[in-house]
Amino acid sequence: MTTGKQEFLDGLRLVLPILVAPVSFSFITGATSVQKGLSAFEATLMSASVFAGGGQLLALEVWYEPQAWLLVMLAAISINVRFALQAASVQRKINHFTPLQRWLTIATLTDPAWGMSEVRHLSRQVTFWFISGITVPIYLIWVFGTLAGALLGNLIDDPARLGLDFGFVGIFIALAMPFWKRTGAVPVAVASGAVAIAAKLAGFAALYVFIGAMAGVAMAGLMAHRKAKRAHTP
Amino acid sequence: MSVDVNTLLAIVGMALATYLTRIAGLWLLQLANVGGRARSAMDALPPAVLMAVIAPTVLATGLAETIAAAITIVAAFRLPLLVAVATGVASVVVLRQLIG
Repeated sequence: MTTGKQEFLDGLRLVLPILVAPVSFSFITGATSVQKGLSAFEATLMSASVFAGGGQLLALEVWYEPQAWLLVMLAAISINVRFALQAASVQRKINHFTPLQRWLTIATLTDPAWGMSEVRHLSRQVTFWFISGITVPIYLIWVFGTLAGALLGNLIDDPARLGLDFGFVGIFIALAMPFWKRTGAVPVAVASGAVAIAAKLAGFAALYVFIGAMAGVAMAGLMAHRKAKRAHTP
Repeated sequence: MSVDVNTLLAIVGMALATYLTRIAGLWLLQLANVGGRARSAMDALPPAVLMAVIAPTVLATGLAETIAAAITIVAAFRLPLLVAVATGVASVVVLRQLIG
């Protein structure tokens, strides 16, 4: 039986190498926010209450004065729809949490917290302290990084020039690795990847993640169905 | 310290919308508790979401991103997470300079 402290340190150790992503991402979000006319306090408030990098940056893209806040909400929902899928998936692994722990985990779910919990679940039980070890540093960095970015303003004018926009893709690629060993992963990956590309090219701005993932899930369902049928026919 | 009411409303709206996307996952619980085919579909969720995020950026953005992603994948097989990600970021910067 491992203690909460050990579990927290396990999560922390795993998340440490990728903290460079929230550091740079939050800084860019803060800088972009002040460019769009938000005050440093408003930018920090946004990061503390929304806590979702992709959604915040997309919302800032469609941020005009006076605020089209319905558009901003739609932007947040469309890119964050993946959280619903991730929450649905991870919550089966955290059934043993207390209701408060489960709510905290889901309400603050991030890509790394989700991805690392899924990977850890392949070998052992996921604990609340393990997830906290991932989420707490990310949250603190996210809030204070946004503040720093907002205060220091326009030091980074083009994130793409520094390749910072690619960091998030790199993290996802690395996170995806352990799943390739599972049987049936390739058809699922091909289906979700191909459909996501088609949806993005067809103009489904940020919904393409949701559409692609649904295609992958449908493929997995189809494969299970055919396997079951084969088992019934001698 | 200035707070604009419209801005505040927009921020509250975003926070609420994002909270709902996270919490909505709990409503998918009923789906998750079924066995057989639905179970296989739920198990496929993590790789499916990951691929749906990665594939368009990797394959439909530009040649520099595609090559950088290939480098990241190879690096991720051999190197620790941070080094693999850093390798990917460095290669995308270089490749964008070379290819445009």
